[in-house]
Amino acid sequence: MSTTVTAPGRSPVGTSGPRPAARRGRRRPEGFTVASYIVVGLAGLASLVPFWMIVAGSFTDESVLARQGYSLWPTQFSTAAYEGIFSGSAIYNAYFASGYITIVGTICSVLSSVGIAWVIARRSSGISRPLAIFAYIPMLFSGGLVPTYLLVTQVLHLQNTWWAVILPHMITPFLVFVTVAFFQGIPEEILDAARVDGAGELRIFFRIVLPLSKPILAVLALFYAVAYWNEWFNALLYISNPDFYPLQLLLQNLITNVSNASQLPASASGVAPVYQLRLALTIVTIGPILLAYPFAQRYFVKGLTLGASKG
Amino acid sequence: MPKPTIAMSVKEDTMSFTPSRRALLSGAAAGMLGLAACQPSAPLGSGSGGEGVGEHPSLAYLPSTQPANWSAVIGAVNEKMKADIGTTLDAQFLNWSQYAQQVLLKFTAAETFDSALNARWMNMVQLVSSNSLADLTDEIGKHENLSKALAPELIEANKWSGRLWGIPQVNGAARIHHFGYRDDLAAGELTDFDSFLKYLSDVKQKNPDITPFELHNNVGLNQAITFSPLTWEDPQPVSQAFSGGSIGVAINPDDPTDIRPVYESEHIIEGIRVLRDLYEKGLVNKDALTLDSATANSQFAAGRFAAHGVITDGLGSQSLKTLQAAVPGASLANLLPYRDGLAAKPFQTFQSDNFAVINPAGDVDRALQIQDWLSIQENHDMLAYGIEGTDWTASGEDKYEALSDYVFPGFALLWRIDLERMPSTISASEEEIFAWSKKFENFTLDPLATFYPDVTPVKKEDAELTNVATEHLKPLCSGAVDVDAGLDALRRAAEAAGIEKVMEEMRTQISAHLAEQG
Repeated sequence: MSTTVTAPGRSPVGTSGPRPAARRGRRRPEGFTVASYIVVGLAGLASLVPFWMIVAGSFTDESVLARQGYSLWPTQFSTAAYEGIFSGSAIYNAYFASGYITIVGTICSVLSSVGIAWVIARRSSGISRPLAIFAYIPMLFSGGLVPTYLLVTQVLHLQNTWWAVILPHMITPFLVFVTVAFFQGIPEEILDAARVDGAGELRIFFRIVLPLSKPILAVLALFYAVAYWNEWFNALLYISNPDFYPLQLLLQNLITNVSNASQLPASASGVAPVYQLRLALTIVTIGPILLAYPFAQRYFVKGLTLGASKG
Repeated sequence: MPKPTIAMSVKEDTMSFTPSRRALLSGAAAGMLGLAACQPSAPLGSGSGGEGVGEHPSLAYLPSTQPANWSAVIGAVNEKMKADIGTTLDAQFLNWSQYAQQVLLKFTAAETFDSALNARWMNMVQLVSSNSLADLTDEIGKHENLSKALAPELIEANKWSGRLWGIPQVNGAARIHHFGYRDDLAAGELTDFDSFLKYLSDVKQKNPDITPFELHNNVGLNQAITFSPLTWEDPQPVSQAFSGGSIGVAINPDDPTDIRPVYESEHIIEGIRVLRDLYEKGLVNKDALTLDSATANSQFAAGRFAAHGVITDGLGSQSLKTLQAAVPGASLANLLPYRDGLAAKPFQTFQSDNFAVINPAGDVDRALQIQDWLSIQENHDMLAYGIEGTDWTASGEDKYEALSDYVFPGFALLWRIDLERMPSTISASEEEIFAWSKKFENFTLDPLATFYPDVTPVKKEDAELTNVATEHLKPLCSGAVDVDAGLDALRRAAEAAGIEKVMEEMRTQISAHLAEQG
């Protein structure tokens, strides 16, 4: 089934002669389009300005920031905050730790989530419903801080390992149910066709279902990756060895340290740059995870349009 | 025939995504195992201190993060400690903002550690009531150096119902709120309240870019008290509160059961009126309610302010080096808000803000041994200031000059009044005031010195009064609202929140305490 779109006053595509390129080039944009571009452009610019001010502020000398506030361009250029952040090996260890937690955690979480979601979505008797209830309960209740702490530290003995950060976040019930909903949208006929061709359940899952589920996999991966990247509280509870601190915890420590520095004697370097450090930390923290969005973007778009062109 | 069409599209998609199930599984497994192999192994509970061979070190939880040059310093400390008393220290640093919650969790989980910082403003009341802290009442006297370093007045004032639940961590006998100001902006010596107010006006007139006085969102009643003209004549009024952020009661020192809400205290009302006047004249910053103390300190160090509130902890001049980099020639001085200056004998409870508490589930004797060892000047200096010659150098008999970025949170483990050195950058006036604050005889003992109110019977009302204080008292103390209208609103809100019940409970507890004291 195909559709043909025609514009008022013009011939349908394919029924007239070749359209001169010059004529297309001279076509004047509609007023609404121009206005839209201007409004959206201004909105985009308005969104970028605060971010740019953070960048500019992170390179502005602390004394200027403290006296004059933020500006669009560093009036007294300084890299003191970045030098403070990147001095020593701690920040590089922390990047590695966060990378490890994010990559391994995301892989484990996506595999676990789609696995459990697929079993729930299959509506198999005896397993799907209990599993759905089992996954649903943590959406309403949590084990509480103390029991979870006891489980991780005294039963699993995961202190000072990155698994103490990964395991408590391994499965997010909400995302499992989002995935279940997606799986239930896959036409049963596809699966029946595969069965007719002799495919088993695992083959159907890996060769049919997962390839069809790239949009939801991208969504899961992005959500889990962002959550793992930003995770610091479990690391705070379970990791006491500074060599294993993830980035967010290291930076959290750095900023609370500077904020509480007034309770301690000044060091040889004097008072740490509070303003500049906060801004520089924002840049250092958001950089890597920001790169994940462009990669996932095309799957989001595809997710919205999937099936739209097929009748 | 829809099936073939759909199947074909699936096949195309499949080919572009996953080569095979086996490849996916093996790839994922290999990736996980490979990355899992990347984390080096870590002994449990390790990382922040040295360990004695064949034995566990004494684990202590402290706020903050590892100081610069920590491994070298703790190595040297542990080497000497091992040789002297046969044990070592493993100090683990916990994030400052979550410190109280983490320590409570470790106590609740019955973890084995020896000591930690705790305080009434954290969860010490809860820990004492659940018998989670070692009773040190009879232990201090058994350790010669420790008992010598802790004044009897300090021990007595920090007993709760006659029992000592932690080692008080103070570097002075008293903590007096007063003023710190840019001396280079002053025309002459500031000696009284009027000259200080004139100083603020002159700064505004001569230096329009500088805000004369800094207020931030962490100050409240203390600011009103220091700015009160009555305080200059009659040193700080006695007050008590069930919790730090709540609305307390002013107490008549001659009859401690004679109490009234702090907002009815003349000292405080007069102080609020002065602050309002300063606010309207532009002599204090107008963003006090949203300005956090760290940012305010940074702005002071950058030269935005001429004066601010300080306390007698010897840290009032800590921003001098940064300030002088931003404003060459800048200098600092301190001023006590008393007409009689150092001859005034203000009331003091001598109650410590912080305690080194000992976990009964840990090794109590070992923790006390370490506290005793840290009460010797040489040992104290090594952990407090780092390695001499590398991290610090002595400056005179009782000062030190920092040579590195090593900064240790001494208030959490080893503050001893007579052992603390002052930073070499301390101003002459601050040094004088700090030295004065170290002597117990310079203060009048508060009639409620050993009184620790129990909030349990009025917990709900106290929580509501804390909200009232945030909503009404803080704006008043920053000068942001009209005094009479603000006080009226505060009074009505406090009455609605149950101030009468809170006062009655306070009166009952004070009476019981006084009866117990005889």
